[in-house]
Amino acid sequence: MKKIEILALLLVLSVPVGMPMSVFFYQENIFRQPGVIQVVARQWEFEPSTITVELGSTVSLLLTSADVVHNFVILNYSIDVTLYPGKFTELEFQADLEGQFEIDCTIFCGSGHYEMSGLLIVTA
Amino acid sequence: MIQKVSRINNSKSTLLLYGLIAFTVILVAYPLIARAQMAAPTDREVTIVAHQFEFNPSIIRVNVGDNVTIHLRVADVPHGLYIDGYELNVHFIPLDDGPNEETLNFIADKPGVFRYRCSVPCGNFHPFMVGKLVVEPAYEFPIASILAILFSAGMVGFMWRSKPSTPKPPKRINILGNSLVRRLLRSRYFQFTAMFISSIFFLLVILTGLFGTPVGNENFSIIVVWIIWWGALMLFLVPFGGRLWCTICPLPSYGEWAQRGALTQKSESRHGLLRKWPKRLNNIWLQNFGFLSMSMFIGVFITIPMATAWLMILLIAMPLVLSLVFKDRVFCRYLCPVSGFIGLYSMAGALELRVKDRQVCREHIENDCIRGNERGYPCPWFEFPQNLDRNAYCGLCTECIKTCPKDNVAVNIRFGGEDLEIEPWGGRKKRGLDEPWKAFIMLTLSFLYGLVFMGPYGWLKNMAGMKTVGEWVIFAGLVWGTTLLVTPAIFYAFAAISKRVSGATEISRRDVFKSYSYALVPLGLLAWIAFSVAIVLINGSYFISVLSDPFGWGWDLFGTTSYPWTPYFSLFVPYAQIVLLLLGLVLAIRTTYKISMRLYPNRQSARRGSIPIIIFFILFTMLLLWLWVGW
Repeated sequence: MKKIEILALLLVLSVPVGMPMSVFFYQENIFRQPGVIQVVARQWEFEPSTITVELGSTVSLLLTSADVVHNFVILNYSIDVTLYPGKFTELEFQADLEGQFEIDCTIFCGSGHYEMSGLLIVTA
Repeated sequence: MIQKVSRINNSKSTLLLYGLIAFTVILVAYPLIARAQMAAPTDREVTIVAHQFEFNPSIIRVNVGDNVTIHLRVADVPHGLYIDGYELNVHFIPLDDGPNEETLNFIADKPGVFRYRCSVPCGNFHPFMVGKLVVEPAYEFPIASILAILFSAGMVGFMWRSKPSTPKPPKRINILGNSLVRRLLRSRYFQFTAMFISSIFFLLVILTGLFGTPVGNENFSIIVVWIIWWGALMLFLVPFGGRLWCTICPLPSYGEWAQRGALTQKSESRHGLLRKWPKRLNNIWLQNFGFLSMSMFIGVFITIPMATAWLMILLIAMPLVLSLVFKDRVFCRYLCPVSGFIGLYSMAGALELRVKDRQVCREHIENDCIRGNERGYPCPWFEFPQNLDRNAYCGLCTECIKTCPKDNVAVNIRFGGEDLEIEPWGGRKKRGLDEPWKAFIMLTLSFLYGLVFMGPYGWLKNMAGMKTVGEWVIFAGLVWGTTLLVTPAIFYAFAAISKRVSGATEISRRDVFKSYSYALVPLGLLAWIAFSVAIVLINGSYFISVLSDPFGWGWDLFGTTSYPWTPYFSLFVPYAQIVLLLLGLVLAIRTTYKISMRLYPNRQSARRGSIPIIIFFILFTMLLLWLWVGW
């Protein structure tokens, strides 16, 4: 086989192998910051629905929505972030109140809106 | 006696023309009267309730100068309202303890028909959630219709008066005359490189579709396939390049490379069973049915990334499997649903591959182009280049450019062409009904898709989006029924009238029907261009943001992720569409006349016979005008 054929074959094979690998690498090693919790809002739940953090720690969240506009509200922490579908918002706060706090969506987002909630648990 | 009969018939078709003119007058009169009766500008309050994926009301009428206040409410999830042309935008994000509506106030100072659309992503059909704002007096539709009729009448007058002449060969410029282009196209590395590059995008489409966000307008797969690729195909590649897309299409690449066992070189052996395609399937019916099968699910494919990914996987698996069984580009030639309409519309395209001199081919009995040689493969599209007289099934794969030892192959940029008037291969094959039906399918769907995706009808969107099985069954019935039965039946009636008024007896109604169906091609192509202009200009800006975040995972590769949805030139879209549709009509009439001159025995019957067909085209153009700029 000619050298150029081998080169072409390597090129062709490099795409289906290399592309998923580089995507995975970028996502895991460059984009994703350690300690950041990704939260996806969708009709009608937050995923994960329970976030557990330590008292006094700095909480980093990456928030998004997977269908329609929602928001991410924790009343006691004065947090209120609007989440547009497919768009991401970073949120950082100090977990300085101990206890369990409800995470709410206060934007009307369909028939299950009033059941949509999550939980922030701050432990000592 | 015959003379007398035809004179009567002739007066009948003139009567039809008068009827049309009367119809026009009414159309002109309507907005004039409307304007005359129009009250002084007043305050208008409109409450619009938005729900997935419809505004209620979806058509609003006001008078020019009115002070309009829109109260936007929602019934399910947050929505917004953007008015084309006025470029006004309002979002309503209803908070639990907030107000129950958002208001938008403006002076309706521009008359015309404007689409308004949802501006807050609200689910899979969000980009197609539209309504119509009619600011009276809206002149676009009546004036465009009058222009359609005037242009048609003008063309008829012009063509009637023109002296009979032998058809001139179209002007052609052979791009292989340029030594750089020639070297490029003769190189075996050219096509490999083109297909390889497109396969990278293709793979990214599959990956983003499978693993990216389910939000369609934030996912690379949906935006690239249904806006960028589709737009490039319809606005550029097909009209200017014919089958140029087939040159770089990645779908058959893996299959072809596997069968040849070579990527950039000419190999001597082939792999696989290398069967011949069955003769009875030597037509594009499978492409027709394949395209319709896809069309039944179109509302799912173009809104759900995962569905687009699986469609692409299917479209790459099929040629791979087929190339294990059959020799060469069986998938492209007989099965690919995209190839079907590219082939049809490429006949109106401005690029062609032909031999320079047929005599050279006849004397060259070695036929390297269909036997292959050390420089290239035999035509993988089962064409015999010396007989090529239509673009339909030449995939521009560049093999014959490489194999021809006589340098007798030309790739021409052309102005005009006769692909739509002639039998394939200089009459060695008769045209079947497969191509006419492809033309019916495409023309009908250009209207149906416009109605579903750009019309203010939520119930149609529910049907196309498979909201319930029952609704989807109706949509599937609409897709198959209108394309295979309704449009052909109506056209058949016009063809029958054509034959009757022509006075020609020695020609079958079927032939009249078949020949004229090719005149649907230019109108269909321009109808799709009009459709695509709206898609690309209104929703093309999504591409800028998905480029930086193809998966919708929050990336920002080039810093453009937060680029907002921005409709471009929304004021001009309807006017561009009017121009495009009128151009389609003019080209269809020109083609009709040329077909008539070949079809009927003499000029007299050709002229008479073309009138009913021209009337069909005027009516269909008005239907399309109504769809895009009607009230």
